[in-house]
Amino acid sequence: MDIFRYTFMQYALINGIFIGILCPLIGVFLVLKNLSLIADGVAHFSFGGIALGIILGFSPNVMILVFSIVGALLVNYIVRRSKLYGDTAIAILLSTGLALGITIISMAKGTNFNINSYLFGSLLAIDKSELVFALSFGIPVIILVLLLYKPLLYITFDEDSARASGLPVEMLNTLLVLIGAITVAITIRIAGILLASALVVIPVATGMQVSKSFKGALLSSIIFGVISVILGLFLSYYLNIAPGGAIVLVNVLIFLMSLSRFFH
Amino acid sequence: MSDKILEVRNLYFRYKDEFVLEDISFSLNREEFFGIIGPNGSGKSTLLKLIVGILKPTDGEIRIYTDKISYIPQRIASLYHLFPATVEEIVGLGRLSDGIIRRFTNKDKELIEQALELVGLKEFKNRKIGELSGGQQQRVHIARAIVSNPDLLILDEPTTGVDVVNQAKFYELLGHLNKDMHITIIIVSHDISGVASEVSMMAYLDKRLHFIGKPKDFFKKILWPIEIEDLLRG
Repeated sequence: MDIFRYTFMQYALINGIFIGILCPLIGVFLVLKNLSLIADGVAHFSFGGIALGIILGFSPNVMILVFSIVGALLVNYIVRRSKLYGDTAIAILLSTGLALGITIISMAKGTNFNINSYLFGSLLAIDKSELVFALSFGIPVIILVLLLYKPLLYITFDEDSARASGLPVEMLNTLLVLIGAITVAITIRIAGILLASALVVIPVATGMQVSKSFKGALLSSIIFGVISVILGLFLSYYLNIAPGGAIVLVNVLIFLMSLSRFFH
Repeated sequence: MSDKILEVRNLYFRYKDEFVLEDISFSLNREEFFGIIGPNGSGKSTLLKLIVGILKPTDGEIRIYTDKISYIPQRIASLYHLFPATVEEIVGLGRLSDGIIRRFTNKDKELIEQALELVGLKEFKNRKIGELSGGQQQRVHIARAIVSNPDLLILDEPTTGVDVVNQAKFYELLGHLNKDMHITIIIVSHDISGVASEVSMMAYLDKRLHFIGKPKDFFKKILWPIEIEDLLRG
């Protein structure tokens, strides 16, 4: 096929399939713990990091990662220490990151900064170094989730019972938001800041419609995630549209189909 | 091994400026079936959360002479309506008390099967938990507790939303766990008659501990049942 002749598309597909597996794997725990919006908050917060990185000459990838992790830890801290609900803490974080990014960019006029590629994702942005970055942070996340699959399910189902049974609930919660942040950071280059969280949430929402078991929901979410990324990237290439938008629209389409009788 | 499983000494708990629990002291021996009753807002659930370590005391001391504790918090069945997990998956979580990073062995699977059989839900093991009734869901939680092989089982209002027939079966199951499996049980409930007929020791809590002793003494010496029910309704 024509699409595979280009090296950037090969990298984008490998990266996309990897993200298609990674995002629902983490997303299933975040969604069931009512933390769906944390991915959105973290992605938006990292916009401030990207702008700061470009002005200071640091790698945007490193800045996305650092800001995502700091953002996730901040939400975790605010929720546990303040008198606020999680969505309020996330709204504050989200606005702060966007405001910081816009302020820095408007101050640094004349900088050659392709803002659209970060906001909406870009196929051309995925080169070998991006792929290595995604795999080197994503593979440890997958290994961690596979090892801690059952305790993560326990704290997702019933935190109080898990705590009484001696599970290190605080540590597991912190770990979950940290690996969620790393996942979002890896996803941003292909899906963009505005849509990265959709890859974490929508395949899981679809998986929940068609499964009765947790294992089934997890596996079907991953299948839907991978299918939507592959189809989205094909559409992006052939129709010359932003990959983030194409992947998310395919995801939404599959979700709508899952509501129909065909899937049940 | 000491006969005592729990000791609470001069326990105080304050939320904001108000004391929820004041000067609570009691001890509990192994294999007791201990029921705690009291009106809404009397601090019953808070006391359980302090015992299992979810909350920290403002003052006082709690000593538990076992680390094999199972806690079933107060829950409404509708909470699990959307949760995509089977009965077997939920019961299996109880086995994590033996270590959080491990593959389930045949022994684990056998224990899960036995627990499901004991609570009468073996044929429901592949059903989604949200599809079960309130009473059946409580049995799932009991099975999850049993597979962890606890010394101490703590239940907060377990019969909320469960019909009268299933409440009786539920108490019967708890009685079996206590008498035949030698599990110490602490139960908080509004259901005085259900609790009093099963427990070996009961307490009346309303911020302070107003009574602790045998159920027959509670009814004979402290208050007439009708008065207690009026009190609880209030």
